[in-house]
Amino acid sequence: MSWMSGPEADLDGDARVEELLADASRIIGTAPAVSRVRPAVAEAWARSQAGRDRHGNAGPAGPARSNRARLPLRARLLPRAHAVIRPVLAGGFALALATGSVAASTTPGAPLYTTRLAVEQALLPGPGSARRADAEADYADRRLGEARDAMAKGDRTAAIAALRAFSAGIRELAVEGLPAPEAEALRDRLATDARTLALMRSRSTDPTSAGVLAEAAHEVEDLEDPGTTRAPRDRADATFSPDTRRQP
Amino acid sequence: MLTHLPSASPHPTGADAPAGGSPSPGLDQLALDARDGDASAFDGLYAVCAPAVYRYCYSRTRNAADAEDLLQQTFLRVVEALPRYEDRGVPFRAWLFRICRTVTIDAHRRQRPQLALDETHDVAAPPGVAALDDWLLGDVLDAIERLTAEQRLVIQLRFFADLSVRDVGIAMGKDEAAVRALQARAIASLRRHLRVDVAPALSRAAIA
Repeated sequence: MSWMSGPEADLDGDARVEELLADASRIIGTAPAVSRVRPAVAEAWARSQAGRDRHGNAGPAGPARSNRARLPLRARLLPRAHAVIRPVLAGGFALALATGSVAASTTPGAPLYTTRLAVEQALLPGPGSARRADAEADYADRRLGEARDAMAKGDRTAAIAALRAFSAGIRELAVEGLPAPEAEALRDRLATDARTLALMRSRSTDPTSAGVLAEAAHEVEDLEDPGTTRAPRDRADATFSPDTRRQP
Repeated sequence: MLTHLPSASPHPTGADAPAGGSPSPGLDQLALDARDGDASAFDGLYAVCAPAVYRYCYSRTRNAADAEDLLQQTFLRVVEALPRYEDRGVPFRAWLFRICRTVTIDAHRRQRPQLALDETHDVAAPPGVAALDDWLLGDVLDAIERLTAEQRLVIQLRFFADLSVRDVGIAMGKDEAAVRALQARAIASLRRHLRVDVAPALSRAAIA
């Protein structure tokens, strides 16, 4: 993949690399993590100052009252979330027992991938709400992310499976009746998906993947502008399974 | 509380600019104030430096949760070590990233057997990262991983930790000329890995 940019053509290659590095650094959102860690750091600071007050010197950061601040972050967050996630975990555990699933077997293209998708769809909010549309868009985005990761790893089968699931997810998206702000947000997300798909097509050298990518792009276009009449699609791939095609 | 803080906005614009955009002349004083028990100064240090620490940790771990843990461990260690901090020509940022680097290396050594088994380790993007951004970030981090260890560290400290060339040199125990040479070789390698010179091509800006 080339990240060269037309508007930046006057810059030399080194400068473009530096811009890409700066872009990449900016992409890493820091605020949530910085906010979450701040209380533990502040608590450690307060303890160290208390130790200094008592002994005239700064004491060690801990453990003074408790070792809570030293626990791994996830270990501290888990108890708080426990009440909420316990029912979900129980259901998931039961499902795992029933299906004998393991993480590896639910990756795109693996035998239990469709089972995982069915579970994810079953957990979506009830139909007819903005939350539902948002969750469905999240579902589709996860599929697109899986496809992109699979492509990056050169796993063509997984990429195609994820892209087909993405297309199916996009077909399920119901945009009619959404309030204007939510509809606008959804359009933004679809535009991002379309750009991602365009990039993936530019990168793909495999005709089958390109065909599936084209199909996914058409699904997104249909949803962005359902009134558009297009010429018949160029099906580069004769191996599409019927269930991935839009029915007339 | 944070009115006397230097800017935290990132990214190098010149060869010797700190990645934080402008040098942090007040940061060292802030560190001394914090060492002497000024809570607002410590709060300021955290506000200014934590984002850069997180970005650096993310660039090394490629996992948001791991980066968050490392951010916390780094600052807990800073709290412990701050009473020993002295202004002896070592900028606070360089001192901080020595600690951060040690914490990161320690964590990597502890977690290595688990990481080898964790297939999802490299796909946990920071929350809120859109697919396209996630992709660009992934490509850049992939390219960085192909650098030599020293080149990689220079790039991570310069562009993700926002350190100046001088501070990178202090953090790595090298002189500025060596850091500049490493950076130049790293950028040349990244040009190849990212195929920056190939045209025509799609780009993030072109399709946005």
